[in-house]
Amino acid sequence: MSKVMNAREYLGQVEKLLSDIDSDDRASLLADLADQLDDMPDGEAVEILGTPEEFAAEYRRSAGITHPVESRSVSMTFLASVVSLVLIPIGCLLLLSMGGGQFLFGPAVIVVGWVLARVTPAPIRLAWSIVVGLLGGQILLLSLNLVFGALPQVVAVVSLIATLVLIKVFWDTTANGRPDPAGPRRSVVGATLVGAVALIVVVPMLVQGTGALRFVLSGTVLAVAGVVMHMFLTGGSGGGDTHQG
Amino acid sequence: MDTTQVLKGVLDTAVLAVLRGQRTYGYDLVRQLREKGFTEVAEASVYGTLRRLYRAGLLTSEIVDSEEGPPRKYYSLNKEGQVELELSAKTWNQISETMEQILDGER
Repeated sequence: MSKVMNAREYLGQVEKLLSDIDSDDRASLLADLADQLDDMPDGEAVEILGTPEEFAAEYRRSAGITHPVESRSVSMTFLASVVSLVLIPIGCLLLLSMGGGQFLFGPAVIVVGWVLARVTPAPIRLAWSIVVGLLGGQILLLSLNLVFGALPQVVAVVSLIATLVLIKVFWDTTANGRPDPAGPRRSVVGATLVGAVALIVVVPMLVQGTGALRFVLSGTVLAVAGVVMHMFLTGGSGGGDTHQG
Repeated sequence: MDTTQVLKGVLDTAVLAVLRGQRTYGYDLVRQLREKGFTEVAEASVYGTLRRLYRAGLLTSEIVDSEEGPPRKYYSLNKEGQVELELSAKTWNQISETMEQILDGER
């Protein structure tokens, strides 16, 4: 299944996928590629040149450039993974603390998590995405509660959406030039939904009471948010399409 | 037989040969290779090969302003590239001759 994309989208994706190579080489390649795309019927780039992922991979292979993940020293990845395996549980503990912990240490954990996730393997990057998303959402929830305490449902919904968006943004911005295969992308969708379901339990408790109405309301909003998030992450293709940046 | 794989093996020599006696940029090189019959080689392979040969010190490059779009990088063969081309051509001729003999059943 090939996705129709215009020349600008194609160039943008190739640029992103080759963001780690020498900037002069990249600029030169993109100038040539832009010329070539100009000569093609609009929307046929993928059919003629292959997907941006295939194009970038073939360029790397023929140019003798190893992928950034391959060229990165094993020790650096290993060290970042070990530190992550220590910090991720600490992030989870922060999620359980009801107040001060998130404010004091949350931002630092998020920043460190972002730096580490850029060099760690997909499963650890995925764990970071979930923890950071939930942590950021909680910080926002608590902050908004302080300011708009009288509107608990609105505050909860805003925080929830922020959590889902944070997971997605964190995952995308820590790609570091690595293409995302469909598997981990589906995992992000799954993890996002699991995180959302977990929040179904948390949200009602944080909006003063555990009434059935609030629970159902939260669940409905989360279900809708989950579907929207799924479409957002997969481009509406069901998660199997690899045409993404 | 997978033609693409065979062509990949001789792409270095083909690129050096096209660049002999002229300077050109990536997309124009792709077009020239196509005109000469390399219709099944992926464009990305040509661009990548160009970069690798340049990094190997076989080509020189210069940036030339373009009337349409951004400046282009033009490549040409340097002395090392010419030596490499001669060696590659010799090797190719030997292989080609041997293959012809094998296929014709003269050995």
